[in-house]
Amino acid sequence: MNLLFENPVGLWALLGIPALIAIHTLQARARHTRASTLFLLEHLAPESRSGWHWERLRSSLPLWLQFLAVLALTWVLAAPRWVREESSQQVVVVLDASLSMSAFLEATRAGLPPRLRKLEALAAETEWTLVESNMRAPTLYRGRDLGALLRALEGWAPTLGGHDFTPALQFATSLVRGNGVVVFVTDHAEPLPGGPAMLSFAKPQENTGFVGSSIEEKDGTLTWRALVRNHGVAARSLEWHVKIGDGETVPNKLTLAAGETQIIGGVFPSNAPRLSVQLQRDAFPVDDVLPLVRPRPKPLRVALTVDGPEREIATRLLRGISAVQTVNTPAKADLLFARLPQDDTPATRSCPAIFFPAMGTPGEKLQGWVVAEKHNLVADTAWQSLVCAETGGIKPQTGDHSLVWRGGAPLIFLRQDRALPAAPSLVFNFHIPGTNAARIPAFVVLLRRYIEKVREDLPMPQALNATTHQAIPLACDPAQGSLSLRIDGEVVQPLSPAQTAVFRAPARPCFFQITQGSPENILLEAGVQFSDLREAALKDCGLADTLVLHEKTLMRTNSLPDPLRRLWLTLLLALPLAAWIASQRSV
Amino acid sequence: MAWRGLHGQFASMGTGSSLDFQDHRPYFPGDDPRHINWQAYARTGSYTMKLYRQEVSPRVDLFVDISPSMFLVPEKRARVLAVVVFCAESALRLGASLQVHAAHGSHVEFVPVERLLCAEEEPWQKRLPGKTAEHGLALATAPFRHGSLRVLVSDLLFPGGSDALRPLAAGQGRGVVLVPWCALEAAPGWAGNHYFEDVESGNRERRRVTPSLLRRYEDAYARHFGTWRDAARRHGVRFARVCAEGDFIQMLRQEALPAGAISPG
Repeated sequence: MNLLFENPVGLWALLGIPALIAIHTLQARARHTRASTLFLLEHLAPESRSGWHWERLRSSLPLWLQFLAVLALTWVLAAPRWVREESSQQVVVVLDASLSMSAFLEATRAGLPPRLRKLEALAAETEWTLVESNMRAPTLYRGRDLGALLRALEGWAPTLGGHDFTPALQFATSLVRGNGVVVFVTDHAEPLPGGPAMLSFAKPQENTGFVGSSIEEKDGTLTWRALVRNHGVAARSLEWHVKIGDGETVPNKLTLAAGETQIIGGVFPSNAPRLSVQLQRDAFPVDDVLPLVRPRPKPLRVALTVDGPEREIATRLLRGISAVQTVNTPAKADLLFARLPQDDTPATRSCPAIFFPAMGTPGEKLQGWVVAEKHNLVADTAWQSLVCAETGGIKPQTGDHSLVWRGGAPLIFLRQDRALPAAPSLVFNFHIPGTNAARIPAFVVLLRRYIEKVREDLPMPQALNATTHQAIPLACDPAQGSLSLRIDGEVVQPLSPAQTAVFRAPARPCFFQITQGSPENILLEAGVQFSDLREAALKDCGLADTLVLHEKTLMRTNSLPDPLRRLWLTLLLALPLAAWIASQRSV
Repeated sequence: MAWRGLHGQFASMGTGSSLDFQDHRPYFPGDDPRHINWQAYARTGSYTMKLYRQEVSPRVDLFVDISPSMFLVPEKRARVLAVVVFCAESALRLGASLQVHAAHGSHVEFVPVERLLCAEEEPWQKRLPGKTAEHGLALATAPFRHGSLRVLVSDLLFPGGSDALRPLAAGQGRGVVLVPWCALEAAPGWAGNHYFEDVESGNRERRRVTPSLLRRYEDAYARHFGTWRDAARRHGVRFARVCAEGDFIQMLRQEALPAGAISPG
């Protein structure tokens, strides 16, 4: 059976032994001795003049009894326990996948193994599970080999920004059946509610990094701007430069007070498809680089067959959207603005459309509240202020998906088309001139969302700047071949259909491309930047350790107390008494 | 157990007119014709003198070392006093002429016998001025009487030479040295750091005593008294150490009696 100490602090009592030795050597200070034979002693050469303050420790019964008393005290204070041979436990280690952990990865790799070895000693058998708080990531290790777990830990790196780790902890807790513990390894010191133990090997760090960027075109010149923030508590001066291709600009100086944010920027060279702004490296290098590509949105061809106020609204709206081209032929358009006849029947259209009621169509009187359905196009928009007295006279059909209601009548809905099942048309079932729709933000937001959705679904090449882990919709023609992901020019992996449906930008700042079929067929080119304020603020990181409490519980569950505890207690009382008696006799 | 006998019965070292035959020697003019050995003259034809042991009234000079080392511990103090009183009583019972001197270094003081035997106070309660004991006792200047029995009571804790005890045997005297000692001197059991104070000089010295040093000290102590013993043997002085611990009579029997320093009465 393994030996454990419930109170290892008690082992400090062993310091009593050197203390005893010191007392026994130092207390024997020079004794005053009257001598009549000093003349004999004077003729004898001393063996040591220098060390007369120290006396060699002389073995004596009181001394040995005192040693035994110290050992007994240490034994009792340390509270030894014996691990039961049949004991077993489950330990689930959850690694915080936040990118801020990358600043403390070395400290975690150094500090975690000793703690886990200590946990391993608490039971005869330990079932290990290593997961990360990224629920999409696979289990890193599961088994009884702590060495294999630690090797898996060596190869792990955090990938997520700020995220909710509660689901991961709930999952981990569900894995611990019966006796065990969940250890959440993070870099923040905020206490966790509930059962999981928390370990943090982090400490507050200064950090300066990018928190955002924008690219604007003005007077034919493309300029980039970036926000740089000092997340630390002390002012910092640093340098930054722009890397274009293989060349670099002259370093620029930048001084930021604690918590200050400044804007830096420059011209995006016309011949450069991409550039990278780089700050002086610090403890958290993830936000020290800003990869930017020259934005190239998908061109959207729009045909306006609607007239009247609706056309004016559409024109004004399209003026504010980039890469929109107005065409006269609906057959060549990607999006159509049109009026929907009252007797509309599902027909074959070549593109998605935004429909308004036909002019002069009588409607129905409306009563009741304006209510929006739960849908991406109308999410978080307020329609209550829409003043609309009657419908546009469009009769709802089976398959229509209502977005906004007033009373029992659908005011805005999506209409499915047989030819374009994936691209339903947006239908406004009220006369725009008779309402205040053009003046409420929800109306404009809905239109823009719909237009962007239509643009997303176009299988055309584009270039954009994204943030890490940003979901980027990919529209492609499956007939043109499979998709491949290239990060910084290197082919990383072919994308599966599932990855294509929900594609997310890489976890770290980089340039990446998605090609289809041949490498020359670039479907998407993007620069990925890290701009998570919560993760970059390393000043709030700190040490934490609540595992100690769980260790005590596990120890008590898995082990038995020392059966001779009473004997040691008795000895603890008897030995000092015996030492005192012995010392009195020897005087 | 002492120097026993009545007045006139104590044999001198010289020749005299007692009945105890001692030796023969040739006749020299001026010799007492009564002591001519006529039988020998009849056999040899030459005058031969018969020598008889001289019969004297004994003189005892008691010389007491009163240096501070003699009173190191109460046991030794008591034993010194006992030895001195023993010697004085023995001398008086013998009917000897007793003279007592106390000495400290070079200073010697006459001590009246009455004061010596007065139990009320120590005769040497008042310390004598004198040099430290390292210079030894001034035996050479001691007022020993001619032909006296010289009894030196001293712990001899000072460096001694081969001739240091010569005065005890000079002037046809006989010497006896009684050396009180205590276990604290012979086997002090020192260990560790000590702040030694010399009882003679008052000098102080810090010293760490290791078992090795203690062993060498004990060897030096034994050699020291071996030297004294040799010196006594060289001059025909009876030498005996008297331990301060234990029964006094028993201690006398241990060494003084076998050494002939005293004889059973």
